[in-house]
Amino acid sequence: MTATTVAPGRWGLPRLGGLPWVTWRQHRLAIAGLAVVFGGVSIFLLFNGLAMHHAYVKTGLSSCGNPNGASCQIPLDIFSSKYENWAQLTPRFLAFLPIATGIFIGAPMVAREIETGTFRFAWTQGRNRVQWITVKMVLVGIVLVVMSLAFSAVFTWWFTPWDSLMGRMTSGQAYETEGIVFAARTTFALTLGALLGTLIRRTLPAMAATIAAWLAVVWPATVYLRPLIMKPIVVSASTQIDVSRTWTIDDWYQDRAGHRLKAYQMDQLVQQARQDGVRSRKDLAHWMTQRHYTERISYQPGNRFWHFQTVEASGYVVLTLLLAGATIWWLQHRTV
Amino acid sequence: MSSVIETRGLGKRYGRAWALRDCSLAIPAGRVVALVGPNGAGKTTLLHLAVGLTEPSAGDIVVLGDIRPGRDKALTRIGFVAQDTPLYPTLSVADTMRLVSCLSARFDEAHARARLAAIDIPLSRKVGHLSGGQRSQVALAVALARHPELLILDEPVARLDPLARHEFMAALMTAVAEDGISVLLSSHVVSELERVCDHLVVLAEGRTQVIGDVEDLLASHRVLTGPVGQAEAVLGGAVVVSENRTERQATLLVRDADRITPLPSWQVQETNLEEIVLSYLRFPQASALPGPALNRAVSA
Repeated sequence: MTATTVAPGRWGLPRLGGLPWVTWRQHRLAIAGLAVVFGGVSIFLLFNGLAMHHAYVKTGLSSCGNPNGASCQIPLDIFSSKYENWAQLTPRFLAFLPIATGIFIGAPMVAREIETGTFRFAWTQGRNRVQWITVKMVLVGIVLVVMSLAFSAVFTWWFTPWDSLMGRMTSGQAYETEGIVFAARTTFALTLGALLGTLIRRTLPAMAATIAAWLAVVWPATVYLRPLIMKPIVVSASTQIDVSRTWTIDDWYQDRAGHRLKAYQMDQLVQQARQDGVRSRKDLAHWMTQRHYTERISYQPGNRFWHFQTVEASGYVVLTLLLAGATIWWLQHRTV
Repeated sequence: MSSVIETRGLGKRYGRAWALRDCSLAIPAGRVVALVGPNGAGKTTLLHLAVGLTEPSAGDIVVLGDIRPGRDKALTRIGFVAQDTPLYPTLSVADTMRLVSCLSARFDEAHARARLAAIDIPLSRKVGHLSGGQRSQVALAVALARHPELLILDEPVARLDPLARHEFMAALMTAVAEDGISVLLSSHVVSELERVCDHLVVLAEGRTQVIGDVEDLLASHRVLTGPVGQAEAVLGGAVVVSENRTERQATLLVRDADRITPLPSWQVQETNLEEIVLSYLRFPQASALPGPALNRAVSA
């Protein structure tokens, strides 16, 4: 169905034929543009990363033991003052990069053909439109998965010092670009754009709808669904866990019977403690313990990173396939 | 196979509006068939149904014998040049040919190159930089190079100037003569068709109004001019398609002209295809349809 005629082409490379060549010819500009963006950011990460990794060792942060311990305080301050901004801002920006695929490759894939009328040419030459869209989505999808996984690998390497300082689950928005979630969101953006373009039939509105729909899925999934992937571990705050290297979900006091204190109860107790002369947080903890209130913490430990990544990425892969199926179905059954 | 397209009760609805309604026809093979009608008559809809770009809302359509439009077998054997010849403007002529060779199993690149070389179209030029006439020629050349059994063209000359129009039709006719392919072309301009087409389908308001061989249509229609008072007498069994009466004189365009009763005071003149088509279009209630001439039962 997708026979590729392989004959020697330029520089002895196999010459693409059939729908693969059509896909390459029509999407090479967008793919090259994306490669430039990924490549450009990677080069920045490489240079910034080399300096940062060097500083991580040179300041003594890699060998001072517990990063929260007293011996690490000064190296951590020096290191943070120089690299913390990059570490905070870059992941925040990169988390949105998968949308670009949806905008520049997914949305125009069908919408531009319909808008400019070229579908009448493209879909009447011999290959039917189901083959046409299937080959395009599969091939572009594979290219995007390879590109985005490579990019995630570079990013993960760049972020290693912070991962070892803070653990992989608390690295703020670095989680979104590390591992496999980033690639899964990229393919999700691709088929989301393709479907919306097919339904809306106009390139620009389809692009706008792709941005809106991607955010409408990814944001709530990240905020509300991710915590449901695995029940957090609940421990007493007195247990010696390194809270700074986990994803802390919640932090509360409970009374002797194990009931969680409500906000107004906490307010009353804090008032009372103040009257007793309690000033610092540490004193408050002591004061509370004396009255048989215990502090509890729920958290996701850093070693759950891959479990979370796998579950979340699987969700996006399922969505990707559903959207691809819907696009194919629509092109086959609903006509232009 | 004696017909390349057969429809029965074919209809296409967009929302509530019927673009094509209750259309039953058979397009004979080996002919150059003109599909004529005013804008909005449903010509493009019918052609899109025939190439599988859209699906019928009612009725049936089969192509090349008994194939459903849009199936691979049909796509390979039918060439289609869509309205305004939509090619990719950013592709060069050479890349356009390569694109078609990648999409079509039967593309004969040497054939297309020879044709384009003959009319001096540079292969490295981007399609978007070609003139309208050149673009149409490229579209025709790549369509013909696929060696289709049926070539469908939607308003191929509508946007072309008279010279380009003439050149396009000449190229098309040469190809038809050489390859012996069946052609169905739509047009809302009738003037050039008489010279080119040998079968005519007139579509008006989503229905077929006239179907027939151009020769037969020319032979059976006459323009009668004479005194108003004797109009009924002269007609005999002929059917009036359109009429124009003044106080004294009547001009009638009639069908089945062999049935008139010749009167000395009446003039009988031959007419041309354009006049016949325009008369039918002016009077939508008139129609010239043979009985259902479908060669094969259209399966439900």
